Amino acid sequence: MVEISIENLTKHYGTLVALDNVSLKIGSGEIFGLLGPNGAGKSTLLKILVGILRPTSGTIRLGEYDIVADPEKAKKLIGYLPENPSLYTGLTTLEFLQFVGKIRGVADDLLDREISDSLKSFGLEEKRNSLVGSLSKGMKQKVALIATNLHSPQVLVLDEPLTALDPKTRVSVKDWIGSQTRRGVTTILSTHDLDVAQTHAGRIAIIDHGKIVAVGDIDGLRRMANTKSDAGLEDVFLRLTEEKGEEPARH
Amino acid sequence: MGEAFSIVFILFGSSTYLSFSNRVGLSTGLSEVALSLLLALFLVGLIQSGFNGSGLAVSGSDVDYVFTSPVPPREVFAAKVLMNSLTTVLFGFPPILVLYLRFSAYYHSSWSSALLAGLVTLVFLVIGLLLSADITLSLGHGLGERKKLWRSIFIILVMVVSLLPITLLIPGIPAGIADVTRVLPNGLAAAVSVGLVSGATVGLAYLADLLLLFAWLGGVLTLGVRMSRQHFYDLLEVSTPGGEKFDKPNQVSRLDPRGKSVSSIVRLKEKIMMSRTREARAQFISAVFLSGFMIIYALSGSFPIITDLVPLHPLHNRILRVRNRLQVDREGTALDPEVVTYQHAEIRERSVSGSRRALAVLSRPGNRCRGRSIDSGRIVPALALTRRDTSTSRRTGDR
Repeated sequence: MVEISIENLTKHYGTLVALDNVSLKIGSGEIFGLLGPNGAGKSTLLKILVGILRPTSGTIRLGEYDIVADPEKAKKLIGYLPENPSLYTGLTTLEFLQFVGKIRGVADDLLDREISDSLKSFGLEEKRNSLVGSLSKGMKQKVALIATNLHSPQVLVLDEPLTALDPKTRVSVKDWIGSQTRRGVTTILSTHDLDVAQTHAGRIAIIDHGKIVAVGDIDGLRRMANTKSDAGLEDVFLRLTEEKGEEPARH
Repeated sequence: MGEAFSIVFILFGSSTYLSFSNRVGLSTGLSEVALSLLLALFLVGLIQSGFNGSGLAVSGSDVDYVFTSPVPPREVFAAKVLMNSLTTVLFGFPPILVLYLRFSAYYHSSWSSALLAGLVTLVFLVIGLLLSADITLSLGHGLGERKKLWRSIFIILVMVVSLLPITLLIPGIPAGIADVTRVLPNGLAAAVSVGLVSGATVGLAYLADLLLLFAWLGGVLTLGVRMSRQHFYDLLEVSTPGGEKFDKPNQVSRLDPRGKSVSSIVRLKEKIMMSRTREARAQFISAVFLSGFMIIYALSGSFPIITDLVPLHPLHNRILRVRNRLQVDREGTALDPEVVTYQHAEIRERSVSGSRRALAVLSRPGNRCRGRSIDSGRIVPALALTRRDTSTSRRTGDR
């Protein structure tokens, strides 16, 4: 069980402020939703969290480890599902999972078992020796999901896990998200799918133009947005992002 | 496969030297200068690949999976550089070794000196690869303002190192520039390796050259290690896999991680990817094109030393433009064999006598920049025939 602490996180791309003084605390075992319009800074936040990007200022701690100061130890805790994962198309499904498992430190004997079980549960056994590049988008997403979880991470970072999936695969992925959340893994879920966020996330942060506009559970967000008590997340989201639609700070 | 350009170029250069060494005596001066230029061209090619990012290729897959893993970036950097260099070494080393063995046979030195000379050139090849990777690393955008100045200085220095030796081809270049190129990696590698095969006495100057060469190696390696400590993949131009189609979607899995280290797994993954994806084939085709251009430049007279050697190789005569001395239509033109024989004899005779003079000239350090070895006083009529025109026409070649 790992807590995530984000303090005064800022990221500049030249004069563009992609993240502006973002601070969040995500409790151990919590399912935390991250919502925002396109270009709001969600992916930037997640990429800093998983160590792909360096922040301009601020800190991110996963448990006792700072992702910038102690990246190797922090990354051991994380399972990351990128938005539109770039898989190694020239590797077979088995090779890809073996590679990812190995670099994430999964023991050799455990790795074989984990891969076999995962391929079976996702119905991908027949695709063991198929090149990843020849798989359909839905199958690739399933392979990416398996890769995310091979090392039994304590933190899951899921960036738009349902984008461009067919309905059948969406159901599989939603079920998978549900099973992970039931395991008590600290999860950050960035999604455009408000149903998924509302169903699975305990708390939700709404980010817009690089700033956190609102944080809370669905009832708290409704109060902040001054909507009815039964208002859907979509109404809440639209209300909050309209009200706070200011230009990003520029230096 | 991406280094196939260097392979073909070295093969071409080596075959040129081999054929020349069969016909004419070699002097240390000519060998050293020509080899230095050959190595400089190789360096230019590698540095170019550094600037376009292929010195340290980073794919979207690497970013998503390798750089989010607990593997230290430096380990990944080392594995990638090692894979790139391994390809070059495996394919590039044998022809270099053959070249040096022929040199050593000519100079009656031992085969071990040829092997050592080959190893010295290998050191040079690794320097080039590391420099190429360093350039890619330096292009990361996450530098502070103070470091950007250093980065600019570094890039200017790299351009000087890579392009300065090529200026030796310019007639009348100041002798001082030739002396400067002497301490660059290609000049040092050439001097040490040719010295080995020619049986030169090992003196302080020789040892200094060797130490300086290893200093270059240490320098570029240290630079790369320092730069790789940062998140060098931050904002790098990463390639994302396109909609690639595979002829064989099902393959036997070759990546067995049991008992292997992370570094070896990363290298194995690179190797498998290179063998299966069209990227490898595309790189090979690109390399062949580059090699073709290099050969055309060489044959067109851009590199005087090499083209002075090439006319003596029978294979190249039909597509050769020999320093304005003989122009031959390469589109399958039928040549009058008597004329060709006469021309070749003339060229050969002149080349030999001119070369002997040139050897003496080139042996003097101050004259290294001069590549002409043919007596400039004689004009050789150029000969051109078309396929349809059976009559021969002669015209005087431009000088």
